[in-house]
Amino acid sequence: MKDKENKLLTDFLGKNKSEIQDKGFSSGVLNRLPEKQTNTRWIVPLFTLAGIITAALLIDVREMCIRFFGFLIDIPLYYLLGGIMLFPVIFLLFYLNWEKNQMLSFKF
Amino acid sequence: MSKAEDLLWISQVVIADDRRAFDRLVYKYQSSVRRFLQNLTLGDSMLADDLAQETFIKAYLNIRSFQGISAFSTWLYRIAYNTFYDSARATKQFEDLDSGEIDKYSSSTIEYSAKKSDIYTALKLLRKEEQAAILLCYMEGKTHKEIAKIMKVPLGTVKTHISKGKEKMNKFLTNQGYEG
Repeated sequence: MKDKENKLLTDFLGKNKSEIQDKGFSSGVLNRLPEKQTNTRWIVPLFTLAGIITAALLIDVREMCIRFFGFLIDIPLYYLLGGIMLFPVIFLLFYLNWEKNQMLSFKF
Repeated sequence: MSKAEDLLWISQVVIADDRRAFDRLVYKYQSSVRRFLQNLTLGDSMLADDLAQETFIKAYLNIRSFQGISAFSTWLYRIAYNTFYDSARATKQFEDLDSGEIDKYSSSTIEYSAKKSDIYTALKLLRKEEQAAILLCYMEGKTHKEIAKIMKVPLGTVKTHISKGKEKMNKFLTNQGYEG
Protein backbone atom coordinates (compact mmCIF):
# COMPACT_ATOMS: atom_id res chain seq x y z
CA MET A 1 0.00 0.00 0.00
CA LYS A 2 2.80 2.38 1.01
CA ASP A 3 4.76 1.47 -2.12
CA LYS A 4 1.70 2.18 -4.25
CA GLU A 5 1.28 5.59 -2.56
CA ASN A 6 4.95 6.40 -3.10
CA LYS A 7 4.76 5.34 -6.74
CA LEU A 8 1.69 7.47 -7.37
CA LEU A 9 3.39 10.54 -5.93
CA THR A 10 6.76 9.84 -7.57
CA ASP A 11 5.09 9.32 -10.97
CA PHE A 12 2.94 12.42 -10.65
CA LEU A 13 5.71 14.76 -9.48
CA GLY A 14 8.23 13.14 -11.81
CA LYS A 15 6.01 13.86 -14.80
CA ASN A 16 5.75 17.47 -13.71
CA LYS A 17 9.50 17.81 -13.25
CA SER A 18 10.72 19.94 -16.12
CA GLU A 19 14.14 21.41 -16.87
CA ILE A 20 14.04 25.20 -16.98
CA GLN A 21 16.14 26.76 -19.74
CA ASP A 22 18.63 29.39 -18.59
CA LYS A 23 17.54 32.08 -21.12
CA GLY A 24 19.79 34.79 -19.69
CA PHE A 25 19.07 34.00 -16.04
CA SER A 26 22.75 33.33 -15.17
CA SER A 27 23.94 36.53 -16.84
CA GLY A 28 21.17 38.42 -14.99
CA VAL A 29 22.48 37.06 -11.69
CA LEU A 30 26.05 37.92 -12.64
CA ASN A 31 25.08 41.49 -13.51
CA ARG A 32 23.40 41.90 -10.14
CA LEU A 33 26.34 40.59 -8.10
CA PRO A 34 27.62 43.31 -5.79
CA GLU A 35 31.28 44.28 -5.66
CA LYS A 36 32.96 42.49 -2.80
CA GLN A 37 34.24 44.67 0.03
CA THR A 38 37.98 44.31 0.36
CA ASN A 39 40.06 45.00 3.45
CA THR A 40 42.36 47.34 1.51
CA ARG A 41 39.73 49.91 0.55
CA TRP A 42 40.98 52.40 3.17
CA ILE A 43 44.36 52.74 1.43
CA VAL A 44 43.20 54.99 -1.45
CA PRO A 45 41.40 57.67 0.62
CA LEU A 46 44.17 57.67 3.21
CA PHE A 47 46.94 58.24 0.68
CA THR A 48 44.84 60.84 -1.17
CA LEU A 49 44.40 62.77 2.05
CA ALA A 50 48.09 62.47 2.89
CA GLY A 51 48.97 63.72 -0.63
CA ILE A 52 46.65 66.73 -0.34
CA ILE A 53 48.05 67.70 3.06
CA THR A 54 51.66 67.33 1.86
CA ALA A 55 50.92 69.37 -1.27
CA ALA A 56 49.20 72.11 0.74
CA LEU A 57 52.22 72.33 3.07
CA LEU A 58 54.96 72.23 0.42
CA ILE A 59 53.53 74.00 -2.60
CA ASP A 60 53.10 77.75 -2.76
CA VAL A 61 49.71 77.93 -4.54
CA ARG A 62 50.00 81.64 -5.36
CA GLU A 63 53.40 81.18 -6.99
CA MET A 64 52.08 78.18 -8.93
CA CYS A 65 49.10 80.16 -10.31
CA ILE A 66 51.35 83.04 -11.40
CA ARG A 67 53.67 80.62 -13.20
CA PHE A 68 50.77 78.84 -14.91
CA PHE A 69 49.18 82.04 -16.24
CA GLY A 70 52.62 83.34 -17.22
CA PHE A 71 53.11 80.15 -19.22
CA LEU A 72 49.71 80.63 -20.94
CA ILE A 73 50.52 84.24 -21.83
CA ASP A 74 53.85 83.17 -23.36
CA ILE A 75 52.10 80.83 -25.85
CA PRO A 76 51.54 82.58 -29.19
CA LEU A 77 47.86 83.33 -29.90
CA TYR A 78 47.70 81.32 -33.15
CA TYR A 79 48.92 78.21 -31.32
CA LEU A 80 46.07 78.55 -28.80
CA LEU A 81 43.48 79.19 -31.54
CA GLY A 82 44.82 76.26 -33.55
CA GLY A 83 44.51 74.00 -30.53
CA ILE A 84 40.93 75.08 -29.85
CA MET A 85 39.89 74.67 -33.49
CA LEU A 86 41.49 71.24 -33.77
CA PHE A 87 39.50 69.93 -30.82
CA PRO A 88 36.25 69.17 -32.80
CA VAL A 89 38.29 67.35 -35.49
CA ILE A 90 40.04 65.16 -32.89
CA PHE A 91 36.73 64.51 -31.15
CA LEU A 92 35.17 63.49 -34.50
CA LEU A 93 38.04 61.07 -35.21
CA PHE A 94 37.60 59.46 -31.77
CA TYR A 95 33.85 59.21 -32.34
CA LEU A 96 34.28 57.55 -35.77
CA ASN A 97 36.75 55.07 -34.28
CA TRP A 98 34.33 54.24 -31.44
CA GLU A 99 31.46 53.77 -33.91
CA LYS A 100 33.59 51.43 -36.03
CA ASN A 101 34.39 49.31 -32.95
CA GLN A 102 30.70 49.17 -32.03
CA MET A 103 29.79 47.92 -35.52
CA LEU A 104 32.47 45.22 -35.29
CA SER A 105 31.26 44.04 -31.87
CA PHE A 106 27.72 43.68 -33.24
CA LYS A 107 28.94 41.57 -36.15
CA PHE A 108 30.70 38.96 -33.97
CA MET B 1 26.56 16.30 -10.62
CA SER B 2 30.20 16.13 -9.60
CA LYS B 3 31.03 17.30 -6.10
CA ALA B 4 34.71 17.71 -6.96
CA GLU B 5 33.84 20.02 -9.84
CA ASP B 6 31.64 22.10 -7.53
CA LEU B 7 34.40 22.34 -4.92
CA LEU B 8 36.88 23.47 -7.57
CA TRP B 9 34.57 26.26 -8.74
CA ILE B 10 33.74 27.24 -5.15
CA SER B 11 37.43 27.49 -4.25
CA GLN B 12 38.02 29.67 -7.32
CA VAL B 13 35.24 32.01 -6.17
CA VAL B 14 36.52 32.12 -2.58
CA ILE B 15 40.21 32.55 -3.37
CA ALA B 16 40.22 34.66 -6.52
CA ASP B 17 36.69 36.08 -6.53
CA ASP B 18 36.35 34.37 -9.93
CA ARG B 19 32.95 35.39 -11.26
CA ARG B 20 33.22 33.06 -14.23
CA ALA B 21 33.46 30.11 -11.84
CA PHE B 22 30.40 31.39 -9.99
CA ASP B 23 28.60 31.77 -13.32
CA ARG B 24 29.22 28.05 -13.94
CA LEU B 25 27.70 27.19 -10.58
CA VAL B 26 24.65 29.35 -11.32
CA TYR B 27 24.25 27.79 -14.76
CA LYS B 28 24.48 24.30 -13.30
CA TYR B 29 21.96 24.81 -10.50
CA GLN B 30 19.60 27.45 -11.91
CA SER B 31 17.09 24.94 -13.24
CA SER B 32 16.61 22.98 -10.01
CA VAL B 33 16.51 26.08 -7.78
CA ARG B 34 14.06 27.90 -10.07
CA ARG B 35 11.85 24.81 -10.40
CA PHE B 36 11.79 24.34 -6.62
CA LEU B 37 10.83 27.99 -6.07
CA GLN B 38 8.33 27.96 -8.93
CA ASN B 39 6.51 25.06 -7.29
CA LEU B 40 6.67 26.68 -3.85
CA THR B 41 5.16 29.89 -5.24
CA LEU B 42 2.47 27.77 -6.93
CA GLY B 43 3.50 28.71 -10.44
CA ASP B 44 4.38 32.38 -10.09
CA SER B 45 7.45 32.20 -12.31
CA MET B 46 8.30 35.90 -12.06
CA LEU B 47 8.36 35.83 -8.26
CA ALA B 48 10.22 32.51 -8.36
CA ASP B 49 12.90 33.98 -10.62
CA ASP B 50 13.29 37.02 -8.37
CA LEU B 51 13.69 34.73 -5.36
CA ALA B 52 16.13 32.54 -7.28
CA GLN B 53 18.23 35.61 -8.17
CA GLU B 54 18.22 36.63 -4.52
CA THR B 55 19.21 33.07 -3.57
CA PHE B 56 22.26 33.08 -5.84
CA ILE B 57 23.32 36.56 -4.73
CA LYS B 58 23.10 35.46 -1.08
CA ALA B 59 25.09 32.34 -1.98
CA TYR B 60 27.79 34.47 -3.61
CA LEU B 61 28.03 36.81 -0.64
CA ASN B 62 28.17 33.96 1.89
CA ILE B 63 30.11 31.38 -0.09
CA ARG B 64 32.96 31.51 2.45
CA SER B 65 30.59 30.04 5.04
CA PHE B 66 30.03 26.92 2.87
CA GLN B 67 32.01 24.21 4.63
CA GLY B 68 31.60 21.41 2.13
CA ILE B 69 30.14 18.98 4.68
CA SER B 70 26.90 18.69 2.73
CA ALA B 71 26.47 18.97 -1.02
CA PHE B 72 26.49 22.44 -2.57
CA SER B 73 22.96 21.84 -3.88
CA THR B 74 21.73 21.14 -0.32
CA TRP B 75 23.28 24.42 0.82
CA LEU B 76 21.65 26.26 -2.11
CA TYR B 77 18.24 24.72 -1.43
CA ARG B 78 18.57 25.85 2.17
CA ILE B 79 19.17 29.47 1.08
CA ALA B 80 16.33 29.20 -1.45
CA TYR B 81 13.93 27.84 1.16
CA ASN B 82 14.87 30.59 3.64
CA THR B 83 14.50 33.26 0.96
CA PHE B 84 11.07 31.93 0.03
CA TYR B 85 10.01 31.64 3.66
CA ASP B 86 11.09 35.23 4.44
CA SER B 87 9.29 36.52 1.36
CA ALA B 88 6.10 34.59 2.13
CA ARG B 89 6.13 35.76 5.72
CA ALA B 90 6.71 39.37 4.69
CA THR B 91 3.97 39.52 2.08
CA LYS B 92 1.60 36.80 3.29
CA GLN B 93 0.20 36.91 -0.22
CA PHE B 94 0.00 33.17 -0.67
CA GLU B 95 -2.20 32.63 2.35
CA ASP B 96 -4.54 35.40 1.19
CA LEU B 97 -5.14 33.97 -2.26
CA ASP B 98 -7.91 31.45 -2.78
CA SER B 99 -7.46 28.73 -5.35
CA GLY B 100 -9.58 30.54 -7.93
CA GLU B 101 -7.30 33.55 -7.79
CA ILE B 102 -4.28 31.30 -8.05
CA ASP B 103 -5.62 29.68 -11.20
CA LYS B 104 -6.36 33.09 -12.71
CA TYR B 105 -2.97 34.49 -11.70
CA SER B 106 -1.04 31.43 -12.78
CA SER B 107 -2.62 31.38 -16.20
CA SER B 108 -1.15 34.78 -16.97
CA THR B 109 2.34 34.11 -15.67
CA ILE B 110 3.24 30.55 -16.56
CA GLU B 111 2.86 28.10 -19.36
CA TYR B 112 -0.40 26.78 -18.17
CA SER B 113 -1.58 23.22 -18.65
CA ALA B 114 -4.05 20.90 -16.99
CA LYS B 115 -1.19 18.94 -15.48
CA LYS B 116 0.37 22.08 -14.01
CA SER B 117 -3.03 23.08 -12.69
CA ASP B 118 -3.29 19.74 -10.88
CA ILE B 119 0.10 20.01 -9.28
CA TYR B 120 -0.53 23.52 -7.95
CA THR B 121 -4.01 22.60 -6.75
CA ALA B 122 -2.58 19.56 -4.99
CA LEU B 123 0.25 21.57 -3.43
CA LYS B 124 -2.25 24.20 -2.31
CA LEU B 125 -3.81 21.55 -0.03
CA LEU B 126 -0.58 21.28 1.93
CA ARG B 127 1.02 23.52 4.50
CA LYS B 128 4.15 25.40 3.35
CA GLU B 129 6.45 23.05 5.28
CA GLU B 130 4.72 19.99 3.83
CA GLN B 131 4.97 21.41 0.31
CA ALA B 132 8.70 22.01 0.70
CA ALA B 133 9.33 18.55 2.18
CA ILE B 134 7.29 16.76 -0.50
CA LEU B 135 8.90 18.71 -3.36
CA LEU B 136 12.42 18.15 -2.04
CA CYS B 137 11.79 14.46 -1.50
CA TYR B 138 9.80 13.42 -4.56
CA MET B 139 10.80 16.02 -7.15
CA GLU B 140 14.33 17.03 -6.24
CA GLY B 141 15.36 13.59 -4.96
CA LYS B 142 16.73 14.70 -1.60
CA THR B 143 17.03 12.29 1.32
CA HIS B 144 15.15 12.89 4.56
CA LYS B 145 18.43 13.79 6.27
CA GLU B 146 19.22 16.38 3.60
CA ILE B 147 15.70 17.81 3.85
CA ALA B 148 16.17 18.17 7.61
CA LYS B 149 19.33 20.19 6.93
CA ILE B 150 17.62 22.33 4.29
CA MET B 151 14.57 23.08 6.42
CA LYS B 152 16.59 23.14 9.66
CA VAL B 153 14.13 20.90 11.49
CA PRO B 154 14.62 17.53 13.23
CA LEU B 155 14.50 14.37 11.10
CA GLY B 156 11.30 13.25 12.83
CA THR B 157 9.56 16.49 11.84
CA VAL B 158 10.57 15.97 8.21
CA LYS B 159 9.10 12.47 8.28
CA THR B 160 5.87 13.84 9.74
CA HIS B 161 5.66 16.59 7.09
CA ILE B 162 6.23 14.06 4.31
CA SER B 163 3.78 11.57 5.72
CA LYS B 164 1.00 14.16 6.15
CA GLY B 165 1.73 15.77 2.79
CA LYS B 166 1.78 12.40 1.04
CA GLU B 167 -1.55 11.44 2.56
CA LYS B 168 -3.25 14.66 1.44
CA MET B 169 -1.77 14.55 -2.04
CA ASN B 170 -2.58 10.89 -2.60
CA LYS B 171 -6.17 11.53 -1.59
CA PHE B 172 -6.40 14.39 -4.04
CA LEU B 173 -4.70 12.47 -6.87
CA THR B 174 -6.91 9.43 -6.38
CA ASN B 175 -9.99 11.66 -6.52
CA GLN B 176 -8.65 13.19 -9.73
CA GLY B 177 -8.35 9.74 -11.29
CA TYR B 178 -4.59 9.26 -11.10
CA GLU B 179 -3.41 5.73 -10.52
CA GLY B 180 -0.21 4.41 -9.01
